[in-house]
Amino acid sequence: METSDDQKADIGIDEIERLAQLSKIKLSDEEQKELAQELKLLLNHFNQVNLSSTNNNHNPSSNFSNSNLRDDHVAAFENAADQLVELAPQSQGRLYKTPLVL
Amino acid sequence: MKDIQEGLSLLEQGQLTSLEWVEQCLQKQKGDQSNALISVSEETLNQAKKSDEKRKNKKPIGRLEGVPLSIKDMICVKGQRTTAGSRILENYVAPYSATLIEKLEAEGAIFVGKTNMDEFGMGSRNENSAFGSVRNPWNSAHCPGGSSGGSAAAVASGLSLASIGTDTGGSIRQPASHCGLVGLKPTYGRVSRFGVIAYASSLEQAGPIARTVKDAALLFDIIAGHDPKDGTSSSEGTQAWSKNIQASVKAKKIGLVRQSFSDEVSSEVKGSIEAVRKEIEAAGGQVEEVDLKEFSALISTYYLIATCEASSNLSRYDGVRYGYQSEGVTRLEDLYVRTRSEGFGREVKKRILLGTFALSHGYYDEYYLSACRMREQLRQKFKDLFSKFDLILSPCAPTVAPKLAPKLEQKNSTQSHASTVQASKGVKKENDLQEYLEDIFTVAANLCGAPAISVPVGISQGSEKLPIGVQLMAPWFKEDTLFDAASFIEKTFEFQKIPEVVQMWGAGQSGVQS
Repeated sequence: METSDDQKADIGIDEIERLAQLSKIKLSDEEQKELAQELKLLLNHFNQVNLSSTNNNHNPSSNFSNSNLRDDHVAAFENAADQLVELAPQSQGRLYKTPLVL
Repeated sequence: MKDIQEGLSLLEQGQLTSLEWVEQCLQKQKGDQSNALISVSEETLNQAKKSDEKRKNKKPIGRLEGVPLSIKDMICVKGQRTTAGSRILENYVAPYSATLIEKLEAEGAIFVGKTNMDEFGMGSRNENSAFGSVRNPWNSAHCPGGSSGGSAAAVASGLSLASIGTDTGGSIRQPASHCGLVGLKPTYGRVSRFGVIAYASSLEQAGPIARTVKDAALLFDIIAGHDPKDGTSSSEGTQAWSKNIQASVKAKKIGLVRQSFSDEVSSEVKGSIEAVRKEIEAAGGQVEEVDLKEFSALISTYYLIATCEASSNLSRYDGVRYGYQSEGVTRLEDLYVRTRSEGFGREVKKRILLGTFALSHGYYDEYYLSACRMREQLRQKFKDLFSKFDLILSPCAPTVAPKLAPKLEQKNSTQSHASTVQASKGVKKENDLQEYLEDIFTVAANLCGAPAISVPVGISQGSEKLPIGVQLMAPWFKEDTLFDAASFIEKTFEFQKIPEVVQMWGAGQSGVQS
């Protein structure tokens, strides 16, 4: 997306609403207003630095060269399922209990 | 008690029992006003008695047998409440222990408390906790730093002899610096993150906050090492670092970050860096200034990557499987929204929104991908620097510990539900960007995955009387070089001989001396 610096930093109430919806968070009108201002301030700072002007030859590596991916095998934890279901705020037997899905 | 080494020596000589030692810590906890702890273990005294029995009966004992430690509430201890400083995990009891906890327990450590912290590690002043802000034991009007502020305050106040924190952008080093302690952020992958609640997985590491370099090294000896349960855990060999420390910088080449003298850095911090430079040169080390041209991009890069990872990591909190669940909800979608809206604090919501923004269609390349490219550029930069230098020196923070936000300064936090919510809503600072910029010297180590340590060098003058620390960064897996140089600085500046308590919880009360 090609945008000017002003446009890039423009994050208004509509955008905050969209982000809150994506994040499954409900914000009050006051919170929306405050967060719009605060995020705008941060994005202005980020845009001043202009990260996109950095050397694009530096492709992000997918993992650290000094770390190793673990072997892909299943490690069983004793009684894990029961213990985990016990943590649920509401459960029935070995099932999680939720409100209506639809 | 000065440090763990002294305590262990007294235990070995029979001049102290673990029970007495733990009781001393519990006694101090009763009078504590720093709000450093979120919860206290009820098993502590029994564990201490068992430890004393083992010692008395000449049974095999661990390297930390009977030593009281505190643990940041970001780290799971089986059967204990683990909140991450958040209402959403307020009543979460961990069903398993983190690998690092199992290692410490195997060596006989006793956990006397879980420490307060910025919610999910998101903060630099410990003002973002659902359990109230933490005060700096050196000056209660000031913050202890963050996000492991409770750990640093607990150690500085003598509530425990050392603590294990986590560091995503400086969260071990900066509070250690603000509270006159030593803080180590190990190389990424050195310490298992299994059982450590995730904030930004590619950046964070657990590590020690202690009173001395040797204590920090001893804890690192124990918690470091490969763990098959952590896919990012390194198989690099470990050693007994604490036994091999040589307090020396002789013939070491040390790069001094030129931006240490920028306008944002206070004159006292600049003075401390100059003093360290002189001492290193006098001891046979070579110091050369290096220009970090990526400096101005560090905060943007860090906060974009951290918030993007946070928006993903924190999506697991939905109120169904564990943690807080909103009541009286009839639809699943509403359960997600209300649970998260009521359970997360303001700063967490903001960072989730920022991360979601940077990852969303139309902005991904501009923000997230650019930040990843900058991160790689920075990693290459440090690779080049470490081909010329053994260490990189800088301040740990641009200033001493800032004052607590006015609204929170008067707040007496308790652990009740009502006050928790009140404290969470009470966090509103004048300028969040200013707080983010306080991480400017620490985030590079997390972005690169390199190890770094903060070590105290002095006290600010004037009325504040707050500790000042410096930071050393080393090449990947060269923690031994860090310990040697940090030990040299520790011995040279004799921080521990400086009158330790300037302003505590009232006249005549000391939180550091025992």
